[in-house]
Amino acid sequence: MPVFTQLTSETNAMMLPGLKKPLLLLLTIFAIVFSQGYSQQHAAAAEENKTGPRTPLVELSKRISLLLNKPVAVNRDAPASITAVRDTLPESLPLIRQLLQDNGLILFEGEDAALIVRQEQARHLPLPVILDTHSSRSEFEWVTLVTTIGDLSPDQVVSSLRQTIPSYGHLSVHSSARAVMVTAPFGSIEIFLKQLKRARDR
Amino acid sequence: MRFIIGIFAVIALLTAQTESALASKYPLVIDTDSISLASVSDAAEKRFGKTVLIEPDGISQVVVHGIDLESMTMGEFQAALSRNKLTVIKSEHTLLIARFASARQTSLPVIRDFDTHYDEWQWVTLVMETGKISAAQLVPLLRPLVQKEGHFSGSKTANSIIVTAPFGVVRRLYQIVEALNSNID
Repeated sequence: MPVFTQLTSETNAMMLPGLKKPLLLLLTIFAIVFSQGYSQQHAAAAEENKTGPRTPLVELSKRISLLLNKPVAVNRDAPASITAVRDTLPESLPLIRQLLQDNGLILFEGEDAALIVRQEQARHLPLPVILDTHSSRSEFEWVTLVTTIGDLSPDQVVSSLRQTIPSYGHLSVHSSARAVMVTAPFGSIEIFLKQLKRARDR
Repeated sequence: MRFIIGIFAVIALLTAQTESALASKYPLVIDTDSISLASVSDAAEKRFGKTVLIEPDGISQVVVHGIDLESMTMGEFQAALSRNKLTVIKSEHTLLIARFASARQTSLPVIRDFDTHYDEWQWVTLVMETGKISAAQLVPLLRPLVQKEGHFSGSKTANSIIVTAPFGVVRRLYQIVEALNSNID
């Protein structure tokens, strides 16, 4: 029996120095991981306090459906809730469009159903094509404008006016047709057209 | 060696932790409001009276929130599926639910004008002469307006473009080319 005890204690003494390092490493890993998760939870809570309450997108889509009198389909990769400025849902479509835009989304009124889509996918939608900005539209409604560039050079138009279009928009110039095609929210298109006219008149 | 493995383990755990924290911070609609594609196809079979087939390598959960599956029109069905990157390929007796990615390889209607109306999200192929505009020049300018799963090419000899995309997108491209042509006039 004493021989067995002696052997066990000797074995422990041999094992422990080898086990210490991995055990310490594991403990460090867990400590870092838990502290990381804790700080992220706090950051999320702090952000929510800063930006306002979050509204379920499904609730907003029901409101839109009532206002437009057509079903509303939502992108599968849209966030389930969006940041709202107030506790109550906006009542009018312009305010809803603005709220969606602030959350990186757009409302597209299709023929059969309205869609809530991520902004980066807007240019792939069946957007209306317009030739001027006389029609009255919401400033957040995405459209495609085709208009003449006059005597301006295509390079000049692209380099000087690209920054008036959001990064998710599209701008290209057809040199032989002397026309520019712009896809962006109507508000940006109005600004773009004003600057283009000013440049053409110069 | 153990120390290096330990460092890698820490990095891997931290990355996984960050991703899961972000996912839980902003869950997506697919995480909270999805239903099985099989139940959607059952509802479509009852509603449209055709056998509905599902592409075997398609997705299993879809978001069709906002669409009443019992009374939906084909246009509404297509619109809801489009938000899941899915489309319906129609044939005489069946409806095939296919991914956008494989739509262009299926038997789609070929159109040359817009006399026949299709649902906005039904995929079609348009063959269009571009008039005074060079088709080859149009391809790089207009390709960004078509989904990456679609198809856009130009033929120099026929001075035509061939576009495969949802009907609404194809119609928009047609209107743009018409507007460019009228600008030359």
